[in-house]
Amino acid sequence: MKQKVIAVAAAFLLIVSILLYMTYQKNKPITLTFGMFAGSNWDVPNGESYKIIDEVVERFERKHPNVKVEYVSGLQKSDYSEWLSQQALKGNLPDVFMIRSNDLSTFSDIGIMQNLNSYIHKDDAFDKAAYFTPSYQSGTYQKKQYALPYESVPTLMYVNRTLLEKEGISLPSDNWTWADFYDICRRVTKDTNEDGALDQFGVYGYGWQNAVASNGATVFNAEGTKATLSDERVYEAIEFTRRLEELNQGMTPTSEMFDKGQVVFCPMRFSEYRTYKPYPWRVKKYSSFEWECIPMPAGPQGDNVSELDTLLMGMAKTSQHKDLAWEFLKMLSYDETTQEDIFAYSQGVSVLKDITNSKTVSRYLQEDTPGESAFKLDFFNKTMEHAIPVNKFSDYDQAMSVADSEIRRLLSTDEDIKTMVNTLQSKLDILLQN
Amino acid sequence: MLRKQLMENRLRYTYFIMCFLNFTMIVFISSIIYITTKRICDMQEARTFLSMIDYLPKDPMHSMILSITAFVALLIVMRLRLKLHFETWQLVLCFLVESGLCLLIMERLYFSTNSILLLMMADLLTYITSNTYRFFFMVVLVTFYLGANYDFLSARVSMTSFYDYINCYNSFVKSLLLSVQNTLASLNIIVFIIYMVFLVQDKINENKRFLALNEELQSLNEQLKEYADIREKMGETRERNRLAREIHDTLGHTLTGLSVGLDACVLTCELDPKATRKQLSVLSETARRGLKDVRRSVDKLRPDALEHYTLKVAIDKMIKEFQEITDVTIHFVCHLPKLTFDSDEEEVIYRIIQEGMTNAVRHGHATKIYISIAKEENTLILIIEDNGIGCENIKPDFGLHHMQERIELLKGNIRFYGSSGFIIIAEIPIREGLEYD
Repeated sequence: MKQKVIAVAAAFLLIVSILLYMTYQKNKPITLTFGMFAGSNWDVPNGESYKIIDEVVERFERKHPNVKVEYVSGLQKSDYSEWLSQQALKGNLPDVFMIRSNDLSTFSDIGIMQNLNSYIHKDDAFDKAAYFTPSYQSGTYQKKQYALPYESVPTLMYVNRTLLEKEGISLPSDNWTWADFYDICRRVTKDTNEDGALDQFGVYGYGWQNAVASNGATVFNAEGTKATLSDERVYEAIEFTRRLEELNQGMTPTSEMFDKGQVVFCPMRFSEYRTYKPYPWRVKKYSSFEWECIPMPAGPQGDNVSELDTLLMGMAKTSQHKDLAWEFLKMLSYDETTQEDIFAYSQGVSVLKDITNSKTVSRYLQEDTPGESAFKLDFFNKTMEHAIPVNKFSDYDQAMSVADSEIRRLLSTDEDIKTMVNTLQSKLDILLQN
Repeated sequence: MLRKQLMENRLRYTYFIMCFLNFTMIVFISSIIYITTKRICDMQEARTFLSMIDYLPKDPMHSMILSITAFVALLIVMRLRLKLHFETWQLVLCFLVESGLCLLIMERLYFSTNSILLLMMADLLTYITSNTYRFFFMVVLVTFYLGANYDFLSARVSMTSFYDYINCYNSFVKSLLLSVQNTLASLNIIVFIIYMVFLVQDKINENKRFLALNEELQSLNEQLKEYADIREKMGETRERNRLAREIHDTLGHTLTGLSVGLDACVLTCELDPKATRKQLSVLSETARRGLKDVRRSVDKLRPDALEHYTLKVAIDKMIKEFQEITDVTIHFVCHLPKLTFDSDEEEVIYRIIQEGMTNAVRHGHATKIYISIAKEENTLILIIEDNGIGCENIKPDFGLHHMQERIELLKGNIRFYGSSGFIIIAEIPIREGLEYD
C-alpha cells in the first residue's frame, strides 16, 4: 500500500515536472540577434538610423512576447563587413543581419547566408510580386534568394536647372535619348570668361557603365562567369562616351564644378536628392542653383534605365531560431509600417510597390520641403521597375576594375574600339574562369 | 626483466603511442585554427579571409572542445568493447558509434587528417576475432580512409580547408606548421605499421603455441585411447573370468555332483532300486537347482529393463522412451492377459520390438507404428507394422538377420513384408507348462 502511494506520487511528480519543463521551454525568453550598422547605406548624413529598427523591434517583441531582439549599436558602415566576417569566423553570427550588395555573393558562396527559397515557398502571407523586381533580384544569387531587400536607391540624372535656363534650353523630357543628351552637352560646353580654358561643362561623372546600361547591354553575365562586352551595343556605348569626353577638349570636370553650378548633368543616387533637397542639408550643398532629377538618357537600343543599389537583409544559416528570424526579416522587409518608415527616417525608397510610387514619393518630398513647387517625378515607378540591380559576384570588384581601367584608357585614345574591347573580353573571360 | 615486460606489452605501448599522437594531432590542428582565427580578427582581415575560403568554418573554440571530447569518448567506447563481451548487434552498434565519432572529429578538423581511422583500424584488427566481421569492418574502414581526406572531398562538396588557415602566415611559419603536421601524420602511419607488425608477430607466436599445444593434446589423446583399450580388454577378461568362475562354481559343481550321483545310481539300481529312485529324485532336484543357478547367471547378461521389470512394463517403458526421443506415434496392443515367458523368450520379444521400431524410423521414416502381440494355441504372434516407405527388395541387413537368428534359436519363424510400409510377423512357440518361480 505504502509502495503504491510512493509510486503514484513519483509518477505525479514526474508528470508535473515534465509539464513545467515544457511550459518553461515554450515560454523561455528567446533572444534574436540582429546585425546592423549605423548611418546611411548611401553615404549621406543620417541621424535617425536606429529609429526605424527600434520601432520594428518594439512591434516584433509585442507580437512575440517571449522574444527579445538585440542588436549591437555603434557600428559604422565602413567597419560593418569586417565586423560581420569576424562574427562569422567566431561562429557568433547574428540571426538576422543587414547585408551590403557587394558582400552577398561571397557570403552566399561560403554558406553564411540561409537560402530563403523554402521559407518564401511555404509562407502564404508572402508574395514576392509585392516588391519591385530589381530590388527583389538584388537578393538573388545563382537562382536562390539569399536576402530580402530593405531599401533601394536608383541612380538618376541630376540637372542644374538654373544653368540650363540660362542657356535657353528647356528641361529634357522623361524619355530623352543620347542624342538629346549629347546635343545639350555640346551646346553648354564653353569658355564663359574667355580665359582660353573651358569652364562650363555638360556632364560630370557619366561613365561608360552608365552608357552600357542605358543601351540595353551588360558588362558581365548574371552568373559572373563571362564578360559580355563583345556586343554591338557595348561598342556603341563606348563610342558615345568617347564622343562626350571629346567635347571637354581634354579637360576633366570635377564634383566641385558641379557643386559650384558649372556643370549641367551629373548622375547621382536618389538618396542625394532626398538628403539635399530638403532642409537642413539643403543649405549645405547645391545651394547656389535650382536642380532637378530626371531619368538617365536612353541609348538607341536601350531604355531610360538606372542602376539600382539595394540594402539587403539576410538570415544566418547557423541561426537557431530560423522561423522567428524569417518573421523578423519579413517585418523589416515586407511590413508596410516599416517600409513607410523608410521614407520618414531614411534616404532610400521602400522596396514595396504599394508604398513607393510616383505619388507617394512626391508627397513625402512635399512634406519634407514645404513651399517648394510640385515635384515632377512621374517617371519614378517606371524607373524603379526597370532599374538594373547591381549584380556583384565574388570577383566582381577585381574584374570591374580591370575592365574600367582598360576602357578609360581606350576613351582617351583613338584606337579601334571593337578590337580593343574584344581583346579585353578574352582577358576578362580568363580572369573570371579562374 | 624490464625487457621481457616490454616485449609482452609492446602492443599496448604502441597503441598508447598512437592514442597520444592522435590526441596531439587533434589539439595541434584545432589550436592552429583557433589561434589563426583570433589573429585574423585582430588584424581586421576577416572579410579578406572570407573571400579566400570556400566554406565558412565553424566556431573554432567549439570545434576544439567537441573534437577532444569526441576523441575521449572514442577511447572509452573502444575500452568498453574490449572489456564487455558484446554480441554481434552490439558489436555492430559499437562500430557505428566509433565511426560516427571518428567522422565527427575529422569533420571538425576539416578532414585535414584521417589518422584517427588508423587508430580505429588497429583496435578493430586486434579485438575482433571473427574473420567475417573483421573483413566487413576493414572494408568499410578502408573505404572511409580513402574517401575521408580534404583533397577528395573538397572536389565534391565545398568545405573549409585547414590550408586556408596555414596560408595566412608567412612562408617560414607556414612551412614550420606544415612540417609539424606532416611529421605527426607520418609518425602516426609509422607507429601504425609497427603496431601491425607486432600484431602479426604475436598472432604467429600464438599460432605456434596453439600448434604445440595441439600436438601435445593429440599425443595425450592417443595415450588415453590406448589406456581405454587396455581397460576394455581388462574388463572383458575380468568378465570372462567371472563367467568362467560362475560356470565352474555353479554348473561345474552341479554337473560334477550329478555325474557322481548318476554313477552311484548305475551301481545301486540293481541292488536297491528304491534307494536309487530316492537318489535320482535328489539328483533331479540338484539338476533343477543347477538349472536355476545357470538361469540366474544368464539373467545377469539380460537387458537392464528386463532385469528389473516384467516384460509388459519393460516394453511400455521402452515405447514411451522411444516416443519421447522420436516423433513417431506407437500403438501397442497386447491381446494376452499377462506377458510372462521364459527369460530367453522375453528377451527375444523385447529385442525384436526394439529392432523393429528402430528400423521403422531409421529406414522407413515412419510416423506411426502398430505393435500387437497375440497367441494362437502355443504360438505367440508378434506383428510390427509401420506407415513408412517400406522396402521392395528386402535384404537381410538392417538387423533383420539378427532377428532371424534370435527366432531360430527358439524354433520360431519370422517373415517380412515391405510393399506398403513395413510389416514384421514373428511366430514364437512358447514352452508352456514349465513354470519357474
